Amino acid sequence: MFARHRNLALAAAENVARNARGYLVAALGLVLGLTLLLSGVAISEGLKAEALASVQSGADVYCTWDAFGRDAPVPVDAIAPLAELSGVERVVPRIIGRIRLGDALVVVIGVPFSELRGQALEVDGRLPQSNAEVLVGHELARTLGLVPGQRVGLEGETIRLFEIAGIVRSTSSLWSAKAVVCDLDEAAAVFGADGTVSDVCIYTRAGYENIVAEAVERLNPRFRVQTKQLVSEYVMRGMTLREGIFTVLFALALALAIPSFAVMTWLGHTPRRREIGLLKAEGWRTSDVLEMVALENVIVSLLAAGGSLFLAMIWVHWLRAPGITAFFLPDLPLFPAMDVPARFTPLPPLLALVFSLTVTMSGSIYTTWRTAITRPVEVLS
Amino acid sequence: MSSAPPVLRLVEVTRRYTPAAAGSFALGPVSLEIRPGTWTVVTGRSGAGKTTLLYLLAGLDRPDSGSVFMFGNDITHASEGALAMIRRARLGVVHQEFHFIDHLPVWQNVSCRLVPAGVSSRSRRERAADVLSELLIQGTLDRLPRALSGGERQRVALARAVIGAPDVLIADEPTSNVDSETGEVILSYMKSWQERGTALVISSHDRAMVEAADRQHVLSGGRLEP
Repeated sequence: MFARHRNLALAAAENVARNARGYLVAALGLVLGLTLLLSGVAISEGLKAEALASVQSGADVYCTWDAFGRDAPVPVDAIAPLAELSGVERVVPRIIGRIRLGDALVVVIGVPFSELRGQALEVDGRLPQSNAEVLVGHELARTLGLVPGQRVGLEGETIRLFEIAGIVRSTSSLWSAKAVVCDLDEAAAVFGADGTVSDVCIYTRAGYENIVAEAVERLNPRFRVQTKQLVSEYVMRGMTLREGIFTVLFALALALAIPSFAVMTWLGHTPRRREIGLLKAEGWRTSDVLEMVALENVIVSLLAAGGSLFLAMIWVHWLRAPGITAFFLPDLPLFPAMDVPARFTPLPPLLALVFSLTVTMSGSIYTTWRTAITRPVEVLS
Repeated sequence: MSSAPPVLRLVEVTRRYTPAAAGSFALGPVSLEIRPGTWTVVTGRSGAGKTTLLYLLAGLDRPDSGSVFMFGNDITHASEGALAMIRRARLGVVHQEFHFIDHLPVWQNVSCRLVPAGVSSRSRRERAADVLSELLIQGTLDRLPRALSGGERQRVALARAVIGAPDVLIADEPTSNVDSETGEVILSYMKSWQERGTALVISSHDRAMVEAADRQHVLSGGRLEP
């Protein structure tokens, strides 16, 4: 019994090898589609991991102000009492906003410089020494041709001139890629923030996250509070939704490939029909023929899924996934100059294999079965 | 003449080519018995239904009416799987148009029926080499069918039919379009199979084939004579 399966598997492998051109053309479309799918999923997973890491290394509690039921800037006066709450280790006010710099829309992050010095940032140049200096994200620096020592003007409500102290390296967090980081007071001046900040980050002692969150709400009901766990869930949900849309779009596109596979392979062609007819005439059962064709599909699918995974790794790690990254991070250009965060987990390649099998089997098994159950004389004549 | 029970038997078999044309039969009703170790030749004009008759005997086609018996069993309504197993184990067929698998070398074409039987690749190659050697074309073992001459193709087709040591060998015009030397090799080889007890059913106009036969039938107007 085993010998029969072994022989059919060898026959299938030989058929694939001897008809490599036919299968190659058909599998090429499959490989291209699956490469994009695997790249997209890997990028999404990478972004998720990085976002999660950012959230995990960030504050434990985030506070904004409530105005008409929506998030609003926090008055500076309301910040000081937060530091007095039990379990709070550190309170960091931030101003985050967007302005136009040249042709680029950039994110300006204002934090007290004392906080910045504590960050483990990889920088070309140095960290800012005074309020008149800023850090610039690597993608922004590349786009605008900015280098350390150059002067740059940020224009919001007012114009402030800064010297670029350093460029945040591309190996650093993606979120700083198109950002300008400056002192909190300078950011307030740029945005004309009159006694307010965008939000407040609270770092708590271990295990005090929820207690502090509740205490903040009791302290002033105008505070809108989100814990680290809640932020993580929001981030994951957003990423998963985008990944889901991406996957569905590709599943749809690849599903449309099924009839193409049937047409493009030589499975429906007269020589293959004649071959099946002859095998039946020579004493092959329908199940023998189906098993051989199914094994051919398994081989093609394994090659397609493996090839797709290999190409996806090259696409993402070496070529920085041009085209796809912009789907997940619309701020990035079509050809990002930075390393794209990506994670290749075992599940997507397995799904790619299942998908390949579905496409190849759907495109061939029915045709083969129809031929195999037809009287040999009809197929051969 | 063998007195053993027939290995193949057709009883009042009919087969029409175009079902829409009711009453227009290509073959039959036909009755025929093939006994072990016999040599039966069927002759007749082109289009008389010789190939149809052979395909019915081989279980490659089914009759519209009547019964087909193989090795004592009524296979008229047997499943495709059962028919396939009988063909694999006990029947060899030489098709008039050869029907080779173009992308496989000769030895794989010859031994393809042994694949689902679980015979190893090495054994299949050895058995194919033996049969091809008996037919004096051992040099064709690794060649593709398209690289064969007409005579070689005919002998390869015969090799494929006998590799399973069949009880019945059915051949459709096995010596048509071959030179006299190849024809003699084929004739002699088929005789050797008859001597081993294989029943031969051959459609042919070749005088040598007819003269070697125990029984000759002429197919005319869809009916067998005598």
